[in-house]
Amino acid sequence: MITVALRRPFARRLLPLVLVASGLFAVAVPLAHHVDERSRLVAAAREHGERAAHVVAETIRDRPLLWRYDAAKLSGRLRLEGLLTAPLVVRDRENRPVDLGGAAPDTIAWARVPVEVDGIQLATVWAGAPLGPLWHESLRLAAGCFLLASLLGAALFLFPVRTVARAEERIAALLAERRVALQDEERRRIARELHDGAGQALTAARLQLLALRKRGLASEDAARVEHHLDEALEEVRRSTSALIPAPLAALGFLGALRTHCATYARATGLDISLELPEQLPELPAPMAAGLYRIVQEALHNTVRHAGAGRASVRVSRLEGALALEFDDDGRGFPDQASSQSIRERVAGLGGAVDWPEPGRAHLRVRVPFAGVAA
Amino acid sequence: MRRILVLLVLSAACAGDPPPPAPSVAKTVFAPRPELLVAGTGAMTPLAMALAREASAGTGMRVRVEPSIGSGGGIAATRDGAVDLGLVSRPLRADESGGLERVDLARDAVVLAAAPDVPVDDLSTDDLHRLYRGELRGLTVLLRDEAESANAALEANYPGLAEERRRSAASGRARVLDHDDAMAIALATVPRSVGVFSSAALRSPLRALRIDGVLPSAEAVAHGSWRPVRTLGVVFRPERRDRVAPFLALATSERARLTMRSLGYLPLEPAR
Repeated sequence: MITVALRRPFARRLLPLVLVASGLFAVAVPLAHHVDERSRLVAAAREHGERAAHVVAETIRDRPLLWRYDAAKLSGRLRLEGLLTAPLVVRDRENRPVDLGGAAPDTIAWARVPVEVDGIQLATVWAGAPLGPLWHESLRLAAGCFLLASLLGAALFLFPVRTVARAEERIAALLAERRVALQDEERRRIARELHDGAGQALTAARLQLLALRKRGLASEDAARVEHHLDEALEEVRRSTSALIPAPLAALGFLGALRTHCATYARATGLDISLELPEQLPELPAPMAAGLYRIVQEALHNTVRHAGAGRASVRVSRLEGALALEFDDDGRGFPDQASSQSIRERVAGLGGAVDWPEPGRAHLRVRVPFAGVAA
Repeated sequence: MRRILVLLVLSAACAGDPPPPAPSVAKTVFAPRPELLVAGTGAMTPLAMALAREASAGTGMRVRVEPSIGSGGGIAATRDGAVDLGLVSRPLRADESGGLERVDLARDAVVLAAAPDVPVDDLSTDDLHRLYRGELRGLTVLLRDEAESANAALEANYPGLAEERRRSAASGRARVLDHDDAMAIALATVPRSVGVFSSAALRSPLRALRIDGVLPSAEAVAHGSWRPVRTLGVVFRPERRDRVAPFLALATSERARLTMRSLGYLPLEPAR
């Protein structure tokens, strides 16, 4: 099986970018919200403090010397004006606090407002903005942004990676297809070379030996040489047949399958059931050779590894594709080489295979006509 | 550079303004001080001012009486040494006394003061509750702030009245005044208004209403038929006893008791 390693390097480079972008989103949005809201709260507290400073200034005008001791009255005035609903601290000119009652919350941003009477600063008002609710709100927003960033990050990461993974599979299939085509072409070339080279030379040597025997010039040893030549010629024929299935050229795909199954059944004693369509359009050579080799490999596995007594081969035509089903009553495909060979051939044809469960041999192959380079 | 920017942003987000600074060492701001500085409850202000005038005329002592800052303010200012004598119209709480000495001088009756256009002279207890609830048609109640001792003196004799006052104040049905002078102005300007007031501070054309047929007077207080009464006194720090002694001697003198009676106060008999 050809492997194309695109997805992992792509994922390794994409992941840090996605993490940084998601992290920035998860942090920047709540942070910006917090800073903005905090500024707004402090501005509101300052406005609140300015109103309180006005009341304090009036109190100082009424009681210029001892105003800070009239805290009950001051807090009453502030309460009447609705100014004690938020944290408020009033300090006199010596920075001593005036007890207005109530406890300030822990987390506060303060706005300082000086209290001036006739141009002289006589007190200071600190108006507080409680930050507790804002912290809670910001944390809730941060959690929401984190969740959203996680979802967006996952989408930004997974979508391109899955696209690359699909491209990786397609490239691997194209490469496998190309390799099978190159292998078949190479086999045909070697077969031609054997047939036209060694085969023709052996045939010529045998004919010359036969002519010598007819003229009575050959000795008894010539008979042994002739026998060796016959064996060499048979070896060349077997080799060329193995390299390129000769029956395909002579009988076509369906005829070659019938002949092979019949020959194989006779030779091995295997009970083979063959179910073929009446006729098929002319198949591209790689497709016919590939399917023929798959049947050969499956039958070979049945006899050599599966220990089966019966096998069935079924070819049917589908819309734009050809289906091949194989089954036997043996132990499935215990041989790794057989199963890998079948997988590679199906992938090389651009097809799909439904591989059986372990211990079963029911194999379903589907090869599209368009998926095979002619 | 990026680290600095991140730190700046984070510090802007997390750090608050500096909290109000801790108190520094107190400094003297207002000078020169008079010989004797007196401040506290507004219920005693008329008496204190009259005694100050007599002290000035008799001994040449310079006594300055500050506008009302309430009993609590008078106690706190005395404890801090900001004034020499604090004027009080209620008992000191345990957390307020702080070693202060107290001398009681007089009592005053807490009354319901009525504007000249109020068409009634007498209220029943039920009318009083309805007035505080805002249900007495034709009259408008004016309330004093929560810290005012006159509230406690009146409400101690009419159970439930304090809660009705607080509810009316919180709901905004009734105006709340935070000084005697503010109450006097409001009574003079708000039509058909009634408010709690000190008998000693009552001046024409305001008048005191009867409650359940009893008219607040010195006799009624002495007889015990008018119960809303406050005890008025002064507080001072023991280390200033010598400083305040001349004024206290004047305040407890027979002449001062005459002044108190003329102002509507009920002087206490000197301890024997």
